[in-house]
Amino acid sequence: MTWLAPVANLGARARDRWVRTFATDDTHAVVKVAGGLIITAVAYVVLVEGLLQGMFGHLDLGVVTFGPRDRPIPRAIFVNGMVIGSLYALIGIGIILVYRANRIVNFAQAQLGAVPASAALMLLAFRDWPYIVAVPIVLVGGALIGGLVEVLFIRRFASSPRLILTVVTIGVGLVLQALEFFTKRWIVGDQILESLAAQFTTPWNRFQWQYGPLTFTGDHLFTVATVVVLAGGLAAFFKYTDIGIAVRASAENLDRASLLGIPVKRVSTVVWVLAAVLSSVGVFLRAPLFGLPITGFIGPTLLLYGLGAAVIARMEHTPTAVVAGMFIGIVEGTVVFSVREPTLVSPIILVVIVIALLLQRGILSRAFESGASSWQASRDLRPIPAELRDHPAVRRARVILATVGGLAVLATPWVVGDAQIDTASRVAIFSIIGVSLVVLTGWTGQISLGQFGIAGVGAAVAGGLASNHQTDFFVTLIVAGLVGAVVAVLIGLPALRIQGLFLAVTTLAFAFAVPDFLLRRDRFGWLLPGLTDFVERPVLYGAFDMTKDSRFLWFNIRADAKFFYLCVVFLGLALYLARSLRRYRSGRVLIGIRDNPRMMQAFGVNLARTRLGAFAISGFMAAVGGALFAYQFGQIDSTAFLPEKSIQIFLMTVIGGVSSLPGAVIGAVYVLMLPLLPVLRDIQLIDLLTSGIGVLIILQTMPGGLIEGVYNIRDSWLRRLAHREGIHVPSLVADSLVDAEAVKEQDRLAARAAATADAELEPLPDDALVCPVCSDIIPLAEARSHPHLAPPELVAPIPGAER
Amino acid sequence: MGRNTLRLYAPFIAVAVIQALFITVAPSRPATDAVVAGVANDGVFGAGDGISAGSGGEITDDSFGLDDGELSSGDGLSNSGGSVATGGSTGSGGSTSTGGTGGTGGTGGGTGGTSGAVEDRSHCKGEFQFDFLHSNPLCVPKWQGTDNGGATYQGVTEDEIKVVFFGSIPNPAVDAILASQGLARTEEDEEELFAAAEEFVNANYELYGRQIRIVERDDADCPQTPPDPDKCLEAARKVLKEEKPFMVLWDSGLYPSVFNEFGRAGVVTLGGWHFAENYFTDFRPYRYDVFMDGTKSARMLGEWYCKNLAGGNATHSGRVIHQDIGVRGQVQRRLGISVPDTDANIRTAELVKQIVAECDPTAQEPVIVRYQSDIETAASQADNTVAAYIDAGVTTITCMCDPIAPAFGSKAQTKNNYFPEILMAGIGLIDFDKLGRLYDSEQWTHAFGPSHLQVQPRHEDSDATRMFRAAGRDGEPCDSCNLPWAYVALAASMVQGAGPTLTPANIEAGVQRSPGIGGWERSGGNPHVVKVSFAPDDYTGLDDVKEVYWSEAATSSIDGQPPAYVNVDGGRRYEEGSLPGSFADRIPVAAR
Repeated sequence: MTWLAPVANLGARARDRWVRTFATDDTHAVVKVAGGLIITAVAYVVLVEGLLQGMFGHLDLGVVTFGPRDRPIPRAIFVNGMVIGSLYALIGIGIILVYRANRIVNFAQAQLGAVPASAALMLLAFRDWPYIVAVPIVLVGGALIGGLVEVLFIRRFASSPRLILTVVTIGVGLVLQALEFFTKRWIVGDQILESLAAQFTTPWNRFQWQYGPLTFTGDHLFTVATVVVLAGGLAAFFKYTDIGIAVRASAENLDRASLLGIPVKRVSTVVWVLAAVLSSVGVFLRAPLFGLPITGFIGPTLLLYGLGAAVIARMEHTPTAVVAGMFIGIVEGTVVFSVREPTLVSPIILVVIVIALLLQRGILSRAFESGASSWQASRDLRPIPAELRDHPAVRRARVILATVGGLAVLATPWVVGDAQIDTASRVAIFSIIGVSLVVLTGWTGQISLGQFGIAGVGAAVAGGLASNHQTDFFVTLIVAGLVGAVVAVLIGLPALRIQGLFLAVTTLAFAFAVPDFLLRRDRFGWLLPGLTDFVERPVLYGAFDMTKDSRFLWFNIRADAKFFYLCVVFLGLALYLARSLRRYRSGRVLIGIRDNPRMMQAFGVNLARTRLGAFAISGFMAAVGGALFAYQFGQIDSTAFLPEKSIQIFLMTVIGGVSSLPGAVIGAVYVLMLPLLPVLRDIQLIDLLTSGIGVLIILQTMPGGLIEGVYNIRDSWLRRLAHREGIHVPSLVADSLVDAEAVKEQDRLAARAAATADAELEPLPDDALVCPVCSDIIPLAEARSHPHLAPPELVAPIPGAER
Repeated sequence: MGRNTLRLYAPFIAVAVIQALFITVAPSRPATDAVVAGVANDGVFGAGDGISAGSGGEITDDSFGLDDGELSSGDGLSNSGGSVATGGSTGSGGSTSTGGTGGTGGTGGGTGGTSGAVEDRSHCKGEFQFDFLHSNPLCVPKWQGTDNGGATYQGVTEDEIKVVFFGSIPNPAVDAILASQGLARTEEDEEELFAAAEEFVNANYELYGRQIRIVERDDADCPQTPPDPDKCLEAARKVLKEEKPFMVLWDSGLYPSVFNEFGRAGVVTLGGWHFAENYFTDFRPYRYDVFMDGTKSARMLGEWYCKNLAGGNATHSGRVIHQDIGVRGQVQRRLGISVPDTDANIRTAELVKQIVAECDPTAQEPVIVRYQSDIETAASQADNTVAAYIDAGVTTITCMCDPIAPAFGSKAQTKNNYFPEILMAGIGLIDFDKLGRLYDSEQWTHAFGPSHLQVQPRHEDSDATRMFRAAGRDGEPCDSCNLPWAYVALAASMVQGAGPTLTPANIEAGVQRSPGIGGWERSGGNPHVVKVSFAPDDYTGLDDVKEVYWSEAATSSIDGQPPAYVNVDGGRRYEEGSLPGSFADRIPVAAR
């Protein structure tokens, strides 16, 4: 991909030269916009009329022709793609807004404004309300919902790790989904299904014109115009308004912005209000083009397209997001039109996103790193303090816990019963995949939303080898693991240049590509088992038949129980491998790279090799988990590996505690085993507890995930032990001191915020400034003597300290 | 390599070497005689529980007749894929009065204990076992033996046959939508229906001294949408272990892998709408369904096209098909096939394409346009799909799809001023009046073709209601209860046809022996009765189709409301090979 960098640089240089040549101070903005338009036009010609037409249509260059068709793809397809893509762009812009304020991917973005927009649409279609009345409902309703979400949910998690807040948005999305459905049902009663066929008029849809095979209406034009105006307006908002500048400042560095008196909470609220309005406008604009929404479900497909547009726009440049969204829409339309295979869209979008990210890697890295100082990705959990580690009571407790844990595992088949043992096996398998996420996300800081996709690759390889070639069980696992490692490294290659949430987008796209492309028998029939073929469980070493019951001493061990134990053994191996990795140099290097890559480079660590190593190990584990899944499931079904599953695994691991190995297991137990409790199932609490509100409550209580609760209990016991034994353990005692300090700090910040607010009300005199530490108003003449503002050279050196 | 490094990795190297040795000496290969764990070991197929079914070893790969050659011809129409929430759910809502499909077999009864005895047919109503329903099973002599073989198979005892009605959990939102149309049923509805059905079956079918017990298991944690096959598979295995049923009924077109699992477990299973033929034949003698399999559906669609539409111009489209294509009657037909982008479905579409291309070699080859069952992008896909059809000059579209897809497709066609002929594929309940109303009326007025459903009686006259009342209940069962009843009725008929020694092998023998029921002539031209029979390569019940076209003026026999499908020739039904030609004589051209 090295050839891409010069191409990108060429574009950037051309833009800069354009601006330098033609712009004056007065015309700078206009010239810049014109330059952007020219570059967009050139990009359209090269990418759409050239590349896409050549790949999927017919490109005639006079002397030579390219393309699979005998005539070009009609431009109407591109225009239609632009219209659809502009709606993806709206989601992307919303994602950008929230990312800039909170440094998270807002999974609820598409859902955020759906409640008021759907309500307005239903009133239009079923109650004959006028269009002009519906518009304010969309705008005001969207604003209200956005504000409420921020105040009720986001603000409560403001100080949580970013991954936790990201998962919170998933919960918020589910809550909004339910709310939308009930609102709609309240309005239209039993006519929801009729909304499929419902029609309504807008002021624009009487304007119609035929263009190629498609008919366009005024609604198409209105949609694009609205999106362009909104994007331009937001760009201007960021650049020219105080609150917009405040948003940018908060995005750069929350602490610094806060210290400078920026009301970061208010900024966050404004951003969520805007994001929700964008979302509701998007849903509202979509309806005249594609019909009324019939269910409240807006899932990962739109999210992927929106995220794609957002990352191509570097998570900051809204006009670019519009262009990127349009391009994604064009690609989608072209593939469906020309190849007539919509499942090819996601792999192509994956390629588009990866290339786009690699083209802008330097800027993206800086964008991400600038926020790293303010926000923690995940909360670290510390080991038992060294002072207590070898204490007999601690050692005894560890032995007891290990024994109880071991016995619990052994007894699981009898405890959960024969009928539920499959679920227990699935817990072990998902835990292995969860462990792979801990290595990759918790320790290395690379967020993967496609881990179950890698598991799918492992399942396909192992399943194919076992079913088609009767290959040895262990060989299938090893081969699957190796293939998974290679695939993970390939996905991880962009991580050498980009990281964090940007990588999340590529992995999410990969999660789509696996069921859509890799697990298809029409494309990979040579690899996959047949439609009615099974992946049979093995006879280990020719002696231990995993498909038949056995007797061991007095116990009759069911076949499924044997497979469960086998999965547990592999889970144990995965935990052991990961723990070894963490304990030695490699683990410390991974953590170091996550927390401060530049410093690690200064220490001579090869970032690329280390990151790829983490990807390889993580991919190997996930693929082995997938291979076990194939044996457990018994068949290869692409719908078992949908992207929703990858997101579920991610959610599960974060709920458990993404930086902790036991957290991965606890998360899997919670999400998969909790529904087995008959008490909860009977009162239908399961969905609430394992998704939506339940997740919000858990994360509110334990921001580090469930494992944090476990560690809190452990620390509490250790504290008591230390107190009883008279052992001084600074790290445990520090907790309480830190807590007390935190309360003081909070009070101080509150006082300062109040002072700042006062200061905002009373304009400062020209020759004064506000001290960012004590909030005093200080005349400029006295600034140098103020204790908080004195230049470093005036501070007396500490005796004995080295410079 | 330093000493420390060596010491660090030595255990791993040792384990790897030992493992490599084992792989060479004692490889851990997949079990070759595996059945699903937990069922195989119950001794059902062996001696574990003392049940000597004589079926031991049947459930091997060999006994499935797994044959790569056969598999490659497997065409599917499983409607299984994807995440169109409403697709599968609507299907499972099961609104249709398919009650006519019950009552196969019967002629094979009495094989185990009646030889030599005088046959008692005093209870027979003509050739039927009883005459309460539109579709009644053929009569078998009253069983006079005393030994029915007792526990002849898993789930069978001397006096009971356990039948599980498996269910998936509907998405609450989708279910609420369907309920508003009378297309969903509650747990109470099912309990009420199955209680009545149990009484009715036990009182009226010949069960050789046993009683059928229906266990409803829709507590299973198997969501209809979004698809979650591993959860459903677990739910299925749980049911198999906990209930150990003889038979599983599941009125669903989702999750082929779960049906495969039931088949592998050696449990007689009914369900899997329109799955490809090999999904049934590969698992003989365990897999059956009420509806026609996807392969045969494709063949019948191809036959209907070849006999009626091939070689001609598009005469039943809109006045202007599209400005880029031409006007009605002046453009040679070109078929477009919309199909979900899943492995099995594409094979079925390819089969239709092949049949049409062979019978109409002068025409342009049919165009297959796949769509992804994704409710999020369905509408935007529909626009591009329509553009692809227009670009290819397609004059006639058939949708071999779930019943929601045409809602998006038809709307996109009208929006783009494209009015082709709509050829009904007959499957997926698209031919159900209430669902037809969801489609754009400007398009659907050009819809015509084969339809699998029989002429729908009013609900109070449906087979489910008749059964309900015959079982001594007042009122009516739920609107969508005809579908589960059709499954129970077919199951009861299969048991009746198997004779006293109840095993899957005898179930297969019974249905193969039976001439089946229904058929236009045999039923005396009763449009509420469909032909249900089985054959060596046909393990699904429905065998005939009727012809329909959509009319804005017609009223539905279900609710008396317009618009609705018009049943050509009073709903006359045709079997494969005997479909009529000259459709223009029977199906009018729409005014628009």
